[in-house]
Amino acid sequence: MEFLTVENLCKQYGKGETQVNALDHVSFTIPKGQMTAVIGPSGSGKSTLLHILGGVDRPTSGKVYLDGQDVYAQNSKNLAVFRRRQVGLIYQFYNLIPVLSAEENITLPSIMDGRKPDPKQLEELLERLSLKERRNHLPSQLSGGQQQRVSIGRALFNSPGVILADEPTGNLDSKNSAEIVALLRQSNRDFKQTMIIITHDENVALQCDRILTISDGKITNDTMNNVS
Amino acid sequence: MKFETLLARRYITAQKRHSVLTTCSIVIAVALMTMLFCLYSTLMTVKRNEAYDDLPGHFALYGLSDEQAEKLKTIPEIGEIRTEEEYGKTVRYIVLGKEIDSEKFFIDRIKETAGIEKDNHDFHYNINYDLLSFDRLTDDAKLEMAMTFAMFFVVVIVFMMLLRLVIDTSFEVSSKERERQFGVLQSVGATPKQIVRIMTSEGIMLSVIGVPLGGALGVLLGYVTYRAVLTTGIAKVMYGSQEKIDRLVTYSVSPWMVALGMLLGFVWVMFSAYGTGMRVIKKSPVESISARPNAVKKIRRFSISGLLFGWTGKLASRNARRQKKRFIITVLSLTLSLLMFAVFGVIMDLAEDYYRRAWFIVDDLGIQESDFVIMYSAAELPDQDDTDEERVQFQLLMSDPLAYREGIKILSDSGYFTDIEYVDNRHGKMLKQDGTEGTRIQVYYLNRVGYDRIWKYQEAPMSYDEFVKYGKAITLNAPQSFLDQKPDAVTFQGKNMVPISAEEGEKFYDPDADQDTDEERIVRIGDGTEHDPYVYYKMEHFTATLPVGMDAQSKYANNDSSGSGEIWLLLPEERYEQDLAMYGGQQYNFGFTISCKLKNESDYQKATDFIDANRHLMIGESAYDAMRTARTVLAAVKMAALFINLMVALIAAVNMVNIISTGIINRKSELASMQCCGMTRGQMYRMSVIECLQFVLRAAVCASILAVLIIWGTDSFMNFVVGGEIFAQRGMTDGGVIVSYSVPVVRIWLSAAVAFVIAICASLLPLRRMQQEPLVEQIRAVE
Repeated sequence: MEFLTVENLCKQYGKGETQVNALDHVSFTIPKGQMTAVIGPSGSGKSTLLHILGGVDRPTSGKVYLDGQDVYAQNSKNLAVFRRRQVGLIYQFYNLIPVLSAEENITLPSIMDGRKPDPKQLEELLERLSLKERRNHLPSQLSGGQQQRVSIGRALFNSPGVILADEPTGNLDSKNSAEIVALLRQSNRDFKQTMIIITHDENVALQCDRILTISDGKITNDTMNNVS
Repeated sequence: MKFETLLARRYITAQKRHSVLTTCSIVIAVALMTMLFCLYSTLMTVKRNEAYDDLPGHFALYGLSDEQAEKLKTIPEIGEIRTEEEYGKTVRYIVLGKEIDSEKFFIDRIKETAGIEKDNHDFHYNINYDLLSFDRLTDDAKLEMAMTFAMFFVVVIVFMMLLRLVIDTSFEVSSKERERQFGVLQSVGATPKQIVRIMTSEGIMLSVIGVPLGGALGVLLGYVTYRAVLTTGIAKVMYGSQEKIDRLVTYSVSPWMVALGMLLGFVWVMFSAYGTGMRVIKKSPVESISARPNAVKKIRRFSISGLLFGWTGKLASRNARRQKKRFIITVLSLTLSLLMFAVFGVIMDLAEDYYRRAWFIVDDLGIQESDFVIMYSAAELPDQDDTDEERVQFQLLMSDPLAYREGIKILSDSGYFTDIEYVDNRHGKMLKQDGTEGTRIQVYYLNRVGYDRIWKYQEAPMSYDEFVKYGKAITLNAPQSFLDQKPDAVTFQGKNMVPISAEEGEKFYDPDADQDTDEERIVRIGDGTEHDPYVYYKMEHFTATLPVGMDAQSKYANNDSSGSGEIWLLLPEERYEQDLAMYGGQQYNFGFTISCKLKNESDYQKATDFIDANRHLMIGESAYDAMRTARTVLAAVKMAALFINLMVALIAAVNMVNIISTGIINRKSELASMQCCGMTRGQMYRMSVIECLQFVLRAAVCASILAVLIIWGTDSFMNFVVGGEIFAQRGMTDGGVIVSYSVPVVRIWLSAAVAFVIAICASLLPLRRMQQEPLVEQIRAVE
């Protein structure tokens, strides 16, 4: 059963001589619960792809279907609600809200949705993220690894259909990187969440079910990985 | 090109929005400074013109011969000698000096050069000390002018302190965004001095545009202020005629003063730029590089906004406190501006109201708020002495008791007057059942204007039309025993004057008799000349009965002393003619008053001329002139207050706009990040609006509390020090409260609403602009 379908996705920046094709007729599908790594050199279009999949950036042409729903057929308000409920975004630089505590950052999508966060779910997630002791700390009072865990918590809390991570370990040391990948893998297995991870780190890519290689805006390689 | 200049130039072009904002701040600061100097220059010129107008030279020499005057031209300190003549003869010589050490030595030199002997008593002189000061000719004058300028400079320094907030905010915001870059520059070898120089170079470059623009705007603002001051009429009060105003009160822009204003503005810009640079280098390069933008170290978890508006309110509250110092400064300046606007305005209104009413006559019925009071009005009385009011009064007693109607008609027809009030007063003593006299009774016949005036500050017992139909007198004041009796009618006895023959009159006339008590006395009017022969009257009693209805005590009736034990009855004018038969002719010691307001202020002179021309019909008293002077002075004070208020409001507004708009711009990636997590535009706008609300709400609440405290203080002062009864008598109190509590609070909240609109614009405009960028671009701002 295909959960995410990408059809002829194109994204162009600039005009005339300065025009850049960040994505050039990219098409692929991802089944529910698959953990996919997207690798490729800098400027190959990985982040652009991720942003378009997450409803953050609009494609020049092409379609993205998530759970059968045409993502870009929605207006901007519905697209925001879609991001809130269906997508979990993880950034390399965490992008946490500095005035909110770790706990408040994690529950933010749920709060924005007008729902009271489920305390049981929150406790479980904080336990899983090893952030129980740091729940009331502000981002400025957390280490890089802890901030990234908060960012993952924020992405997971609403149980979205797809988790999109843009180099989640890019800013972390090897120990913290290993912990983060293990955390993502565990969540993928436990909650059957579809995950797309952009990475430069081969170790991260090898822990994913599938590796998509992108170069000059095109998918150049699509390999299945046998992860035990 | 030096690298500091190069970088400064690049930053200016790269951060266009910040550069524009900083330039605008410089323009405002320099403009206000230049305006201040232009106004000082104008004031000094006006004062000099005034001194010159009194004596058009530094010295006036009297009793000199032409030869002696000629000799004076050899004195090097003398610039010019002019001759003033009257009827072809020289009256005095006007001397304009150049450089004079001391006026005493100068006069000695003149005497010596002209050869004036000690015993020459014809020679005398006048020294125009003011003109000497303004022209800075003597050492004392130079010192005096330096002192004046020093005093002005104190004001300038206070002003500069306020302006610093405006420029500082702009520089700090722009440097804050580059903090990391400054750290990087230092780490690759830039010295702290070079970093400071980047900021000062930026200051110089932005000043190239900002300072001349500010200077020009300052000159213009100065002119606008000058015109505004002229419109208050203060110049007219000070100088009288328009010709004198045109001659003396001119807008003067001294190039030196403009240059000084601009220079000071520029120096202040450089101080701000330098200060900002110094703040930047206080942090080590590592601190600057590692510092994440918008790092928050402490937050207050509970907030009223959160309680009221939910999570958007909570976020807004925390965001507003991210720059606590600036938040406090902005709220404080906003509070001050709202407070000044509301409270000062109300106190000035009160002062104006008090002064306005202070000139009015407070008669038995309360405050007489008219511009003219026509004491006695009647039919034409030929050949009377206008200045002898007593005589006019007696002459009037002979006239037709309905003659006042003619007076009203004349006034009304002139077209100068409005709200013409008529009050006729008859009095006598109540007749008891045993025939003896009792309480004194005053009967007032009033027209609609007079009736409405009594009830201006309180609820009327009925309308004037109902009063006319009522058919009974309203008791305005009476002893409690009278009120308790509730009589249906009252009978009283008064005095009348009946004309008698000259023979009979001459027989009994006693010039030494007491006019008030001797009821059998013969009254004589006229001066006994052929032109105005004596006319004699005999005093007779009359008895009148009036129906009495409801009592309606007036809070403002002037019954403090004599009136406290009297019975005062009100009746409509329409009844007067009918009751005349009862009073039976001219009554002794009666009076009627016609008062009115001026229709158009510009017609004042014509109106007074009209009254003067009709002095054979009326004697008019006007409180208008004094009132107008007081009003003009108050208007000028209000104008000055408004000016200061506007300055504070401008600074507050610039600060608020700065902090809000830059706060939004600085959080670009953060806002984008929240949108990536699913925040809708609506939610984002809502959060921004709440952020704006916090500034304004806090300022408005603080200003309201302070306003109530100040008003309480003022009210207590007025009631206990000045005396509440003075205000009560003039209808200026409401339940013992002199200064209104509600007006300033309403004004504060209305002004706060305006500030809120400005804040929303400052917040939503950058937000909307940001929304035009793709989310990806916005989120990359941090990376």
